[in-house]
Amino acid sequence: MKGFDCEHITKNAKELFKEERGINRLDGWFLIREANMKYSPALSDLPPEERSAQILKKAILELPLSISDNAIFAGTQRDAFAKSYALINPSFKVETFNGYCDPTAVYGDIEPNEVFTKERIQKVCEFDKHTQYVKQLSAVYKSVEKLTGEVAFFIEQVTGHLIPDMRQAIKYGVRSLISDIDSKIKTANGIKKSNYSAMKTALECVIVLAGRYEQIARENAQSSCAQRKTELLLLADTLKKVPENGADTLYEAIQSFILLWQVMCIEQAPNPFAFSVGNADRIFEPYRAADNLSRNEAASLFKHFLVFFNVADRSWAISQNIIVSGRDISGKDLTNETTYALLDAYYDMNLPQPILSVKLHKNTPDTLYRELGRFFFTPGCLTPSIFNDDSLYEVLHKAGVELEDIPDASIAGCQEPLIMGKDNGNTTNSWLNLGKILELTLNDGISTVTGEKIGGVCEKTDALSALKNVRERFYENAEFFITEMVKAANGASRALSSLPVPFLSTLMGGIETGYDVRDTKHQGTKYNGSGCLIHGNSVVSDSFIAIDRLVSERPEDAQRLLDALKNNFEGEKELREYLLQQPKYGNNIACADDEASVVTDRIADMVRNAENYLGNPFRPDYSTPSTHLLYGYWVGALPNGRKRREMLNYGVDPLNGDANQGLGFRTLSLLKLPFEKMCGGYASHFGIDPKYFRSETLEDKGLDFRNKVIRPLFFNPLNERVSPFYLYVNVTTPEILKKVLENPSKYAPSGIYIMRIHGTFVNFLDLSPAIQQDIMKRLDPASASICC
Amino acid sequence: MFNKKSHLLIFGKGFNYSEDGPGNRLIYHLKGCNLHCPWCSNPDGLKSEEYEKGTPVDELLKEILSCKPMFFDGGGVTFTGGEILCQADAMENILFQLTENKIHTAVETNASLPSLKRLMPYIDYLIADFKHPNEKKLMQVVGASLLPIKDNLKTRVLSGKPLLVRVPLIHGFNDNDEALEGFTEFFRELSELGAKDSLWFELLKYHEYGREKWEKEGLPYTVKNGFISDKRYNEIMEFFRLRGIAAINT
Ligand code: SF4
Repeated sequence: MKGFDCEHITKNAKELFKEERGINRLDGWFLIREANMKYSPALSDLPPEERSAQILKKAILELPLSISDNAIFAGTQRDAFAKSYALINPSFKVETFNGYCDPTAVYGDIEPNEVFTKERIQKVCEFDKHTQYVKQLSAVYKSVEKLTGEVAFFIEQVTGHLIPDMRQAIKYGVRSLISDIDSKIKTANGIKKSNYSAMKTALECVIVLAGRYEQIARENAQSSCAQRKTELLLLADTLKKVPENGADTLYEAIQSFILLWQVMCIEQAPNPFAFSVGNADRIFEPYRAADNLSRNEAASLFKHFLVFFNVADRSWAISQNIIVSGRDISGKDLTNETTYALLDAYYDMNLPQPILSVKLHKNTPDTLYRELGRFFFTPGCLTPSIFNDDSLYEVLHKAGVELEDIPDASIAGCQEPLIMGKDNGNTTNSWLNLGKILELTLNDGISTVTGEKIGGVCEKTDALSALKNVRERFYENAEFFITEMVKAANGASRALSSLPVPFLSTLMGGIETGYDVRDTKHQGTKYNGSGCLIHGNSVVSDSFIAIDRLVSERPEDAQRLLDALKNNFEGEKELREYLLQQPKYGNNIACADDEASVVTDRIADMVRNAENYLGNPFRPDYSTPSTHLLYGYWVGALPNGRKRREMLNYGVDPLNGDANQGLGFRTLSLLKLPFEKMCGGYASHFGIDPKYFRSETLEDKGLDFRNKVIRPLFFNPLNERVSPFYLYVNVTTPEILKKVLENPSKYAPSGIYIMRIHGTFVNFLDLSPAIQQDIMKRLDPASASICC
Repeated sequence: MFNKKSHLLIFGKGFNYSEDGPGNRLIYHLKGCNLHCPWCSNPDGLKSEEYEKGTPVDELLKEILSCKPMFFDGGGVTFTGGEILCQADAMENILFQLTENKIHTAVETNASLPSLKRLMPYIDYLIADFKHPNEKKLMQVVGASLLPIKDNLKTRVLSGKPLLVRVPLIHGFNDNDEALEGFTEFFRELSELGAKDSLWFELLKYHEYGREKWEKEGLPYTVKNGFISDKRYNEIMEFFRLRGIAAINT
């Protein structure tokens, strides 16, 4: 299958992306929900798993399909997404954002028109509101309204956010999975039997979908010019073969993958965010090699593969992750030719989705660092998330993952590590706001933002005792909020279990276990847990240090401090200055860093001790995907000197502006944190000025980047603890970004200027102004200076 | 109170990898310089007022010791400038203490002052500029005498401890054949004095990292075109190679 016209294919991929960006209506998800409304009453006698599969089949049969003249593959995930994701919505405002808790809010994201009239939308919305799922979920939210109102914590039902293992389906074909199910079904009974029958129906959907596309390809071929005709006939023949049967070539493997992905997303429409591909270079390399495709040929096919992940005008399907490279159990590097082909495709296309991640390790070859240089040092180019695979092995193994599964560790969404095809981590199930808990601890459970009584378990005491015992009191309250949070989070998972996902389950070990991924009574996946994103570790630890100082140096000001916090430091400039002067985490100051480490460790233990719906531990995840802004908005003034409504610290990073000694000192502070406890993941960001990298070529700058940034942090031979395992960077300065905003046609002629916010890429120009400003602020150059 | 022996005037710090000495290093930039190179990339280091802002040596030592986990691959601390010899007393003090604490020390200097000799025992890795082999030209452009520089470098080579001699190649200043012959002659002289495995020559291409800073300070930047083309750079490397001098490029 050699002999592609790479240039032609590349040109098509770019045209295809342009075409996609021109789409500004997303109605497919609505049709899917409408099909659900239409068919589910008649299917109500079926067990839920089978009902889901049947409805999926109806939706697949009815969805309008097409193949673009620029496409070399058939398939789209457009029909699974709505225009919902807040941060890329220009009207997004921190002040009015209230989470994604209402599953029917999405009906507000579709603009009524002649075809999709208000009444039509309303009808489906009403139907959904009366489903068991929405009723059950609403009850859960209602039960914790008081505690989530000002986000002491938040919970959500987790859709998407998994990494399916498509390898078997691609290699042997869906038919072979169906025959595996057939042999399992013989001995199964009860719920397993009906699950298996549902899984079979669900798998057949992808064959139906391929058949429909094949027909379109053949029809289009009839009216096409000779060259396009050949392409379309090849496409039609391929669709006849895959995913029903095993793929032999890279072209077939990608086509197979795309349709499997499409059905997986449709099954969860709307908005199954953060599904991820996993170790893409290992998935596809066998086909490239068998096919003997050159790097360039493979790259040109991957360019279309990448376009597939972009939905409509703003790439609404967010946080999809592709990871490359990494090591095996013995430490041997697993970089291959497909790794480089994928990198080439990424670099040439520079798309807002999917996110690129790279697993590095001690033995990562220089070549990979050299090839990565262009990503970091081309302005406006996407940059990969960087993972330390050596450290991932340690962290995941300690969390109970068998060594043999760790090569398949990859990233769901932004930075949460999961095992491809085996791990249901419910990664974003719960969100804990340590800043708010500290505020409530210091003000007897009453919000200093609104004066509302929110809650807590500490007894009233005098100001000095409250400060002296702040740690004890804080942890006691934290325990209370975590307990409430966990109850609600498990409630949300239970509500979601009434929407089974038989198709996805076949790619997540369901054929083995006979259970649905979302089953809350039987474990359908080899590994299972629930995530907790923990916010504000260092604003809390810095507050403890500032309180210690005040108690020892000016105890007479104890009440004054508590009053000042209530009044947002109004009239207390001197006191606030004093608090700001105290040691802060991120500057390699022992007391501040040690305290941050203790807070991080203790809270992680408390979260880890909580059990999810299956009795599995929660996973501490210190990442704050822009929620450090949203949650900070609900947190009153704190003793570290931070004022009311200001942001919290991002991930495990120091609070913006608090670290000013440069990158090396910040790295030293980071190295003291207990990364072995963060099995749910964490976030950290360096905004680095490109001027520190003075080599002449992009390749040499890639090596500089390794030496100056990666090695000290990840592979520092003098670090005796478990090393950090995640980092994302923006290599730019606030001044550069200001110029881009002022003159986009000069600095981003394509209209695309990729930046990173938390783990995901965004087109800087697509962002809401609030988030643009945050990105510029968060570059925090003083915290990442290298050497003058 | 600021004390010349116990306080250091520092205007910048940060980590860097193997560019100013081996391994991963903490770099301190010291204020003040006795020369006036027109291409200087730290002209703000030229002023030596603000004495009251000095950092006590014991505080500095504490900071350096807390950074130990970053000194991997044989790394440590590098002091550079401005010119560290302008604060020779305090430098002697901190270098001595670092040696006592077994922290690898490197120093980058213009080597134009005799005080360098007494610091040498505490410098594990010395980076010394050798800007021009001609006394007159050197004095005229940067304001240094040649003799103390040569003397310092010879002393270092004789001690057997590592020395990197750095030539900042600047078009129109020291890239003509006559200057190159002068460099060759002195490099040969140095090589004959000591062991090859602890003496290196490095040719640094002219850059303009300084320009912006000069302009910020409101000072005129007078170098017209100091850039060395790749072609000329390779010719110069070849020039030295043919004369038996292997120059490195870090
Ligand atoms: S010797 Fe160095 S610090 Fe002094 S003026 Fe010359 S370049 Fe600048």
